[in-house]
Amino acid sequence: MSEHDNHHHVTPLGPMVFTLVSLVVLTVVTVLTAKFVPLPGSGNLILALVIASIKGTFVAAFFMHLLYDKAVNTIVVMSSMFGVVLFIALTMVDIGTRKLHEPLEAGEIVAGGGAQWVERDGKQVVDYKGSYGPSYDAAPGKSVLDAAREASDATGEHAPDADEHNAETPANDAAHANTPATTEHAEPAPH
Amino acid sequence: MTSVSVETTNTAEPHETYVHQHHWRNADDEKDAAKLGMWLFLGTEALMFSGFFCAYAVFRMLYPDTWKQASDYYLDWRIGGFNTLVLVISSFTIVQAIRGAQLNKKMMIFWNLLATNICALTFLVVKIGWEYIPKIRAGELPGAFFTYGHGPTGTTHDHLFLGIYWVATATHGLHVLIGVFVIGWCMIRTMKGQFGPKNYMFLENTGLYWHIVDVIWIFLFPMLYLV
Amino acid sequence: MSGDHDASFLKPIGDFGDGGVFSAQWWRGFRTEVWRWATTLDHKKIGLMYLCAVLFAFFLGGVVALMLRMELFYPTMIVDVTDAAGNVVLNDAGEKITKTTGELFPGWTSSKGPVTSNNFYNRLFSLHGALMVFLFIIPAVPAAFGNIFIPLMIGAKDVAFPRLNLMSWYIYLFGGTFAVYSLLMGGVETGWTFYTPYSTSTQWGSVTSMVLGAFILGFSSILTGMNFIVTVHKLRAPGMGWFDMPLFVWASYATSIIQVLATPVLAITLLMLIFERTFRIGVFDPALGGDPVLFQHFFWFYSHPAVYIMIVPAFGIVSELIAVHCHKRLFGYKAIAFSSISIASVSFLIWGHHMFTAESPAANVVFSALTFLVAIPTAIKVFNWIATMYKASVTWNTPMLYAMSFLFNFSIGGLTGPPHAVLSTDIHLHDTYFVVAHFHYVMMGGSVIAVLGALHHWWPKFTGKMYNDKPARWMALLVFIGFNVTFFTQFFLGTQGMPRRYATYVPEFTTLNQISTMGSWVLAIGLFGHLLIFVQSLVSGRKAPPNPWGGLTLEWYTDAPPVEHNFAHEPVLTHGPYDYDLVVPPGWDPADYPLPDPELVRKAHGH
Ligand code: HEM
Ligand SMILES: [Cu+2]
Repeated sequence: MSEHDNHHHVTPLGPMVFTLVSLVVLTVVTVLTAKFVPLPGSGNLILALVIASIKGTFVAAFFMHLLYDKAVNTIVVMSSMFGVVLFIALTMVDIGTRKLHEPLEAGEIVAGGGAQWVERDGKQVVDYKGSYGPSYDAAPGKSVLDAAREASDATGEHAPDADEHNAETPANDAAHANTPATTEHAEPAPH
Repeated sequence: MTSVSVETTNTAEPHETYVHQHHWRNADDEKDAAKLGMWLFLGTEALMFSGFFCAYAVFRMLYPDTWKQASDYYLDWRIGGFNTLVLVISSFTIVQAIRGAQLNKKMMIFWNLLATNICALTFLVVKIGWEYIPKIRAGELPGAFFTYGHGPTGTTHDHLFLGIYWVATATHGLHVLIGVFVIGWCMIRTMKGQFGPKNYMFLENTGLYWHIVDVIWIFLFPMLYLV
Repeated sequence: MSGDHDASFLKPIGDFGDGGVFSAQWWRGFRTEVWRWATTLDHKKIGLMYLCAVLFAFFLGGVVALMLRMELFYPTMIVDVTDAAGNVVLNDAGEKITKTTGELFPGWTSSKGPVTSNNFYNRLFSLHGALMVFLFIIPAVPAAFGNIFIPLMIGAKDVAFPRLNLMSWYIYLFGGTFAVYSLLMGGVETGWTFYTPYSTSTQWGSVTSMVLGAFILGFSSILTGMNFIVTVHKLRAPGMGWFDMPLFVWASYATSIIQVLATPVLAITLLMLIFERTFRIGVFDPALGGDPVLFQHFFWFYSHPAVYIMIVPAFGIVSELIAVHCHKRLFGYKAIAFSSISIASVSFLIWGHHMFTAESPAANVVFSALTFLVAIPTAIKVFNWIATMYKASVTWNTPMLYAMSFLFNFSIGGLTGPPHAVLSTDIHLHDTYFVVAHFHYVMMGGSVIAVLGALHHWWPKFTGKMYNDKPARWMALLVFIGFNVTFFTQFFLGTQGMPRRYATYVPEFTTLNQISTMGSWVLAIGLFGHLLIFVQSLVSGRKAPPNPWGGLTLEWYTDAPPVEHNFAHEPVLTHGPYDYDLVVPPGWDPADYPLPDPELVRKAHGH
């Protein structure tokens, strides 16, 4: 074991100064290219991210000592970067290749976004202005299932299926249907 | 094999006394372990921030034009750029502080830590004084509190951009703030003479933390302020 | 460190006096003890506290599960329609109106509005899922058994960062309190998945505080994972290389990797959900240009790996159970070890298979193809376990029965995964009871069964008491039968199209649902029986020998219960964890517990 020897690692000064200088220079380059060298498409974004990655690598290798350290630390960094890249890339594979039924459109700008404070029953509550998809209206005296059955009888088709629409969640139809904010509830009978 | 629990004490340098915790076989193992643990923690930090990056990437891809408009309109690259330089410099000074420990120069540690903290505070003051407060005054806030009126895009993408801007920079700012306290704590420990060539693990880990805060900003800056 | 180094870690140090219970001295002693446990840095004590907490969560979640099954016992009920004041509503002709409903639970009116029994059902299944996932199964094996046994198995005195370990226990308690609080104060109706837009738009219940609770629990899990990775890297006994580690340690190591890499994404997901609810940052809000489906990506990036946080340590347990109770070298040690690591890596690539009905066709194809990959390392493990049992002299005690039970159930659970991964079938099966049956076969039939096996396997080690094996075997059988009756029926229900998360169903599904509910009673009886057997063991169990089953891994080399610092002398490894053909296990005394003769054991596999 090396616990008694007097040899310790002292961070060399030269590479650190070099790193500092290159970080400053690269920051300036990022700003200049982004602001004054318009590239086609996402060119500027990509360039800026490449420069940022170079900067990040410099910090990790020199300032953070990865270059001088045990390899296992580098492996840790690599695997978490693997995670980050995967997360972003595969998510974009989905979002970037969607053929939307109705293209996503931004609403008109209003203070408070879709959410508005309104007074209801003497209390201030947030009203979301129907930002979200339709929900079953379970009229008093009818269960959700009844409503769905009726809808199906009426059209001769399946009951509306939340899964068919991209912008809606398939998560929780039952819960959705019972949202107190949107639905009148039948007071259940005592059994 | 017996486990050595107390290192030999060097009386000439009082801060060289270092007793490792009882469950380690030697101080080197303990040191490696602390560092590995820190790196794992930094990995989790990176993955945590990846949520913001992912959200950014998705909406930048979906709405490239309005996104750029909002960025140009709401954010001033000079403030972001200045703050980037400040953080880069602070990263360098904390490396110098660690060198100070390795070279056993107490005041070198102290002054460099002080410089680091001054940079950190500058970052926060600029961020809050020149960005956050004017934005709050103007109502350039996330959706529920947005009162700015008609933004540059004329659509709700303003909300979206500002939403991501606020949560990402505020989370990062919180990390800076935590860094200020930890570095302050390091300064106290320095003055107590607790750091030396054999015992600067805490300092080194603080440095690692500080660097990751820097690296995250290195990415946030161009993404939010520039492109 | 406090305490006598040679004494069992469970031995109290408080001075209770002899004034009997509730005398002043007894209280002083009691306070000393409580303080000692509350501030302990000993991984065994922390692990034991975790174990109690997760079992309590399991109990709560189990009671709720029984209530859910109760509700589903009756498909429909015909009841009078009443108005908000509770008066019966009459139609124009003056007749009572009736409605058909599955609503067994009474509804009530809360300060926020009426709570129908459907609402109540939603809350219950959300509560069940959240408790079982975040409070029970994710910490169960890593934080409870991992804490107690990883340091023992690698011959360490403690985990790498004992204080961090204590901290993660308190974070768990804190987050758990938060979660239970919000589940009581209104609850959530979102399911454990918190899907947007419902979770961001509902003004109902305490979604924000529940999400905050899960967020906090995530940190506990991260810290545990970090701690174990470093422990395994840095604290192995002298002589223990990577391939001398017991497979439970390998599995826990792989789990820790997942915990460290995936859980931060859960943290940020939940944080964004909270921001969305409080500030409306818009990321998940279509009205602001955001995308609710994005939440599913965020959530499953964590939660698919998380299902491997639940199962991979169970794989480790089963490897131990099979090796020890078959008294045989494990077949394909390295294959099992590496398959844990490869499952951990692949698990990050396949989260999109939970979103086949929500994501784009291109992403569907990618994720579907990648999903099949994960079945390979999983199958490798199963084949190796079976190969180990071939021609072994098996001791059919409770832990081994659980290992068998695991193999059976997990194979069913695992094999019903690929049908989900096939795009065309998943469109039909998604969000039906088939999915429910699939994940209960892996999580309950796999992980929980493995936890029960581990409890029986290591019970003598950490309590120092034997339990009564014969009734325990019967209970294991009851659990096996109850579980299969409960959940196998749900495969049929799912393929016939019964959707999940509803309080009622069409009458055609009645028989199968009622069988399923009756199965849940058998299951409950079995589990309750185990509880009684354990209580009996604690009260009047025979003192356990240090190595009742003849194991070879290091935890069997110390006392039962282990001494304060784990080992009287630091162990030096001289043989592999499964060298049953080369080494006679320590303290092997057939008189302690009827086990086959070691000579026979060795002959059985031809040495
Ligand atoms: C053997 C390989 C496996 C494959 C190919 C697989 C595949 C799948 C797929 C495709 C789904 C989505 C089904 C749908 O919602 O339509 C699913 C759901 C699920 N699986 Fe698996 N799975 C496997 C093993 C496991 C294991 C080992 C666990 C846990 C220990 C697990 C836990 C779950 C859970 C909890 C869900 C449902 C989550 C929810 O919607 O609430 N699976 N599985
Ligand atoms: Cu999955």
